[in-house]
Amino acid sequence: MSLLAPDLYSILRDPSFLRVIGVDVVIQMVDLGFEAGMNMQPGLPSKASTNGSPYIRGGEREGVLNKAKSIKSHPANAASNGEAGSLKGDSRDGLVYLTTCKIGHLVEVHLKNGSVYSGIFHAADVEKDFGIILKMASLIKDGGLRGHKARSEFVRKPPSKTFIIPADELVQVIAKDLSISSDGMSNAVQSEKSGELLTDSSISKSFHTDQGRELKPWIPDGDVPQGLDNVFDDPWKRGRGWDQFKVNESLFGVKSTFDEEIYTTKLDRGIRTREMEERAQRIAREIEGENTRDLHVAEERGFQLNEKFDIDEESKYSAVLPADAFDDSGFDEEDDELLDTCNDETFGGSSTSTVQKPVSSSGKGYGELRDASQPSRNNTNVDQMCSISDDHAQHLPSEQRSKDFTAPGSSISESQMGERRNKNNPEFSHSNRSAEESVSGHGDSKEGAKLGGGGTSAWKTVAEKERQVSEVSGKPKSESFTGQSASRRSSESRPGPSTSSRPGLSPSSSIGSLSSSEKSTLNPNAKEFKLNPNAKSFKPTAAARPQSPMADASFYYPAAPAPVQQMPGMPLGYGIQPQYPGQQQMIYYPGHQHPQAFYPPNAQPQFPQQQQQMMMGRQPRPQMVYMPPPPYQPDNPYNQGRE
Amino acid sequence: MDPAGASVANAIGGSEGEKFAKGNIYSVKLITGDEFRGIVMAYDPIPNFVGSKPRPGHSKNTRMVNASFITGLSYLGKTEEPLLTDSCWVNLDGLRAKEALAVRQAEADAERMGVGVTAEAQSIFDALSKTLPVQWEKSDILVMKEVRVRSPYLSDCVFGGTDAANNRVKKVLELERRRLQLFGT
Repeated sequence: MSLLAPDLYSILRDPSFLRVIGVDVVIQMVDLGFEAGMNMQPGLPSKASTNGSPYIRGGEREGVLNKAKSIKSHPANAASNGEAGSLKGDSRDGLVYLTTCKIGHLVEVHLKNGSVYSGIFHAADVEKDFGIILKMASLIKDGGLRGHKARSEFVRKPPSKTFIIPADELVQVIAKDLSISSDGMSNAVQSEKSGELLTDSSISKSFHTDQGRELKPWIPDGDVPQGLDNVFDDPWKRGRGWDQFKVNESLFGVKSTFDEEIYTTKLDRGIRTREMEERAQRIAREIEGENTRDLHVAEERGFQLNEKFDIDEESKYSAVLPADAFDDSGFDEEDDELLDTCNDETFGGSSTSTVQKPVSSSGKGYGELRDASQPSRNNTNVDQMCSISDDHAQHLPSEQRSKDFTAPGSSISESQMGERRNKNNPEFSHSNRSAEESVSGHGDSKEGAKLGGGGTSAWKTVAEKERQVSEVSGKPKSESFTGQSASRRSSESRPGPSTSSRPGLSPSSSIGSLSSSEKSTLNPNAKEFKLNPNAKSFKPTAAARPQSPMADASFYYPAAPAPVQQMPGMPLGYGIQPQYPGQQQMIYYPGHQHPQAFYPPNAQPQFPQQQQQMMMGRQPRPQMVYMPPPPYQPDNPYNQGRE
Repeated sequence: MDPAGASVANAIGGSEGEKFAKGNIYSVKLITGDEFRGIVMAYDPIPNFVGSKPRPGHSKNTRMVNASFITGLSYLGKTEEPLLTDSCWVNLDGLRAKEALAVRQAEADAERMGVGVTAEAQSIFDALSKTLPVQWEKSDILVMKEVRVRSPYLSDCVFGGTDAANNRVKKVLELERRRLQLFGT
């Protein structure tokens, strides 16, 4: 082999000595002057590689450089080009092609001395005498001096990384299961398929199937009824041409009772058919051309709804959407108006007409709810609210735009509260609904329930909030509430301590907002909270509330659990939550009054009072403190943002 | 032509035409004792190599034979040219990938092969590797990097590791040995 350094070559010449060379040898290939017919991969770079070296190139007239470490690279031999003349080109080509096909394949090499090696075909010296190089070759059958050993005693040797076999020793190279076809594609494709990425079909495929068999068109034999060739070409026009029922009947005597009209609406194809058709088409076009905000509808219609293409499939199709998953900022404005109108309607419009813009994207259907929590609410419209929330738990309140919601100038806290609620699960509304029904007359609570986060604990808070809100509004609705709620609400208007009066709210947000500003946004007409000693006490279930991360415990009672004191008429039954300035708050309800109504009608009223008392010097509380958790969103990322 | 080197006894029929013409079917006997039949796909007298593929219906083994070592050759017939060099093409990138993959797999397999160990040891290793993470360490089998099984790989050759691990390896070893005895390798 002219490629190797002479000394090395002489060693290899030694028939009884097959040395393993630890260095990857790249056989330098010389352009063999292929005919045009032999189409190799064009543009093959003449790079030195240790695997699958491009030892065949077409069209180039320079040799591949050999960067083997210990082997002197042999410069391109232009002279040898002439050797591959057209005379022998054909046969050489064939052989070269065959050899190329073997690259990467596990081959068995028989040597003159009877040894059989198995390895991965790496390269062959096509120019000269077809010495070959195997990778990871291992001796299968030792034909050496020791003769044939019993297999069981055969001590294994590690496979040789690179194994050079000079042509003199080479008797034959057998490549098993190698499909030699004119199409070199099959080689690569097969290998890819059986690559590390095993598809199910390749795993379960039977090994006996022909992977590359030649397909022939099916020629029917005589029995097949004629005239079927074009049956499926145009199903509408030719539908009349093939009546399966008739054929069935004629062939098998099967009478069919199929009546198409059972399954579909009969079209009135009358005189004015064309007119109606056109009208229908027009309407269809209008509908389909409508602007839609829904991602899925838009996708069906082919609109690119979201310019941000970084929304992956999971968030598009399978993830549970937070309320403002997609950028529908455009809806914010609409929502606000909606909310305002809805709020007005619900709350009788007595609230201030300050429009509360949602701080963040309101999301679907919750914007209105959020604003609905504004102080000025009308109890009578609660039902509407209920329906709204029910219907539009997930959808924009587009249909309800007729409702007149005002967004009373609620504090920022409320909007923030609303925001938090907005992020809540739509299912929340459903769970709240049941609660609503059970709590008659507590319309606000229903709303609050809707507004709160998912989970019972959440809407307890909300109910609480609602009560507060309603109290502020001083609406007749507040009458329906126990007086406590009203008093509670009024406490909101108080500075400082009032912050604590909104336990259901995101404490940080509510407190911050309340304390910072907007007493003005509170309803000045709100009725002052008066404790109703006759109010029924709240007996929640004994089950501990699910822990929800308290945003900022500091806003809650940081003190140790206060002693339980009995208030006249108030049942002692509330467990105080272990209040620790941690992130978790356990709500413990020793008793439960209404199985469905989770909110403690009495506890909350005490709440602000107690809070105030606490703030004012820890006066003994008349009651256990009920600390409802914030809207139940343990994992809601948006909550954290606010905190 | 008479290739240099080993003597070739060419029993070639008279009506054959060019030797090793493409499409010829031969029954070939090699110096190693191998015998096969195949259709000549390519032949190059310079290196004197014949590429042949077996007749359809047989297993698909493509061979490249050094004609220098053909001891017996009998002409069986002729078919059409099996390979049209004009329309042949190779996907070199695919081949390269295939080779890389094969090398990787072979290397992984090589890891599992013990060096200088008996076949019995290897079969024990293989059996153990089905359920336990094992690796070779010289001629010891190292299980879970803790427990060592020394030659001759009996139950009392298990050392190391926690008691639980040790016992587990012992148990598995016993069972595997029993299974090997029953079913062979």
